[in-house]
Amino acid sequence: MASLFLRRAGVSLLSLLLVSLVLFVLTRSIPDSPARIVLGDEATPADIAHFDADHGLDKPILVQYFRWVGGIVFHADLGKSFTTGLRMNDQVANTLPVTLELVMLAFVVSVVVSLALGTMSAVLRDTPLDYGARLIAVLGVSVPGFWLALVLILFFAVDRDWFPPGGVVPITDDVYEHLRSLVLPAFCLGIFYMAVLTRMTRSSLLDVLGQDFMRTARASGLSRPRVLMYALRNALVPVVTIAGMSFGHMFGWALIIEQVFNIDGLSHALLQAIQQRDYAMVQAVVMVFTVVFVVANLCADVVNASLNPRMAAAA
Amino acid sequence: MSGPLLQIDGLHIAFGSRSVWRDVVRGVDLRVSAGEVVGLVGESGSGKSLTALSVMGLLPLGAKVSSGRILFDGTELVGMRDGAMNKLRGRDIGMIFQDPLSALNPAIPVGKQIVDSLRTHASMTRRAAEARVVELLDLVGINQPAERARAYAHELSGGMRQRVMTALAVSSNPKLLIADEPTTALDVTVQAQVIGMLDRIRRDLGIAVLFISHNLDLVASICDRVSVMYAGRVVESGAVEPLFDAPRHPYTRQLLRCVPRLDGGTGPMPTIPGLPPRFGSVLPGCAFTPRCVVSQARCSAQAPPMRRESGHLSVCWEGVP
Repeated sequence: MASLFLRRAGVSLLSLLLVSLVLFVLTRSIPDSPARIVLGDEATPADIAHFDADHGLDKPILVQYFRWVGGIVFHADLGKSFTTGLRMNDQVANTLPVTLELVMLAFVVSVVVSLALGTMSAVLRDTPLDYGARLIAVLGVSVPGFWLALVLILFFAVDRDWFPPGGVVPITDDVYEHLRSLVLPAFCLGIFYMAVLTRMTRSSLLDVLGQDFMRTARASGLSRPRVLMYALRNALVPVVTIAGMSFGHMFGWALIIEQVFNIDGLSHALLQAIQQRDYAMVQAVVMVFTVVFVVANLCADVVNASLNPRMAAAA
Repeated sequence: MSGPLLQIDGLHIAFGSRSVWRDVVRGVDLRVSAGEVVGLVGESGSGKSLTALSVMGLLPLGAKVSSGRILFDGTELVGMRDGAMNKLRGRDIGMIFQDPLSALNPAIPVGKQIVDSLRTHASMTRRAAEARVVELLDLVGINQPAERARAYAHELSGGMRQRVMTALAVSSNPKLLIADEPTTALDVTVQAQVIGMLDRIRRDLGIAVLFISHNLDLVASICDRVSVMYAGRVVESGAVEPLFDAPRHPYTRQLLRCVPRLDGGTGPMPTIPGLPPRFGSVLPGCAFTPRCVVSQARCSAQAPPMRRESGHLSVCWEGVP
């Protein structure tokens, strides 16, 4: 178990390094020097050289890369924006919490709901409840989140005053209002993953329920809840894998949701950075996303290894 | 106690859905007395496993008992509610399955699986159950039982898995043990050990066994009585020795000829030409007619009579005037 964790952690670190390299090279190969963007068309070559020297842009790209990575690894410093001069650490610290909270909320609720719904659907297969759950799952997979967001805003925020139409009330102001302002965005963000995980849980559980060892469990006279626990231990493995990936994906989707609900989160900051060609900011945000994604998958692996000992042996 | 431990009368099992049901087990009679070992022999698809599963109330989806009775200790099992059936399963009737790897939960230590079964049927502390598991694993001949109890199925050898399976099946001292081809998935060298272990356990604990197999030698070596099934029917049954020494039904005779013998000389292995009838097809007469070497005109037209002589039953037209 410990060795599995170490090996997986090693692989994760390696992939982080690779991503950082690709990310750095790609953002640096965009034409137009940052100096041109910041100083404008009238800047003289001397101005630009001065700017490049100031920001270390005159060094070879690998040197720049190692400086950047070194800053992250040794000083936990994501760097500084060329365009605004703001420190990335502050930017991320300001915008990450609300995005993280939104994603966490959407993730936890969709996992809990999908486990319940998927299990019920499998156990009561071909009953009206199963049909209902499957219908919800199909709708959730096929309805686009941004469209749903607009419809829900219209229905619950504009026509009725149940939820605010956008923005997030700071938690320091009012906890209740804060949570209320997160309901609609979290719902729109989570519904797709809830649907995917529901379908996954259902089909995986049905598959396991047909296995020989489930017949043994019943032949041993185990109670129905216990038999279900026996099944779930095996059925959850693919669900956990998908859930781990979903958590990372949700940060990507949050991009759209934050835009629609006008939330000042990390994804919002990324969009702004792209519009303003603030490459350092893009790098910093994408790097944060990558870390979240890799850590989520690492967690999924560890959970799976504890669920199924064969995974630990095979990994 | 009066009457046999397990009594199956005219059991029909049908497969199908909604309106179309076809019988695949077509009138099986079977008796197992307390402490007795009864063999159930037949080709794949003859309905032996279905018969066994129907006793457990664990028929696969799409199969049901369409008629007949299954009495266990005088209690009717056909149509019994699942909750009541669950009290019998694992406690009064244990079952061993063919492939112990797929029959054991891969994600739960084997000892824990036995602990769960024990605690379902008797109120005992976790610690007491764990101690009992070690005893049981020792009983079925597993070395270092305390250590093995923490192992997962994939960490054990095939023979050891089947021993664990046996320990699970007999954990609550059942009266009847159903062994559905317990050695088919094992290496030949391990088969004998597992059979020896099974025989010892059932003697020690006084458990009656319904032993399902297509291995005639195994059946001859451990069973008291045997029933031979063909196409969903029992075609011959009786005490092992007279039945194997003087089989009456042509199917049994041909089946016995197919058992490889060390002194059998060279030449091709004898086989029974042809195939069993197609699943669910309806035949008016004896289902074995197309493959029978002594078939007569009436065989395919009329159901053969059931004849019983000193406890040896055979269902065939042969020798009937």
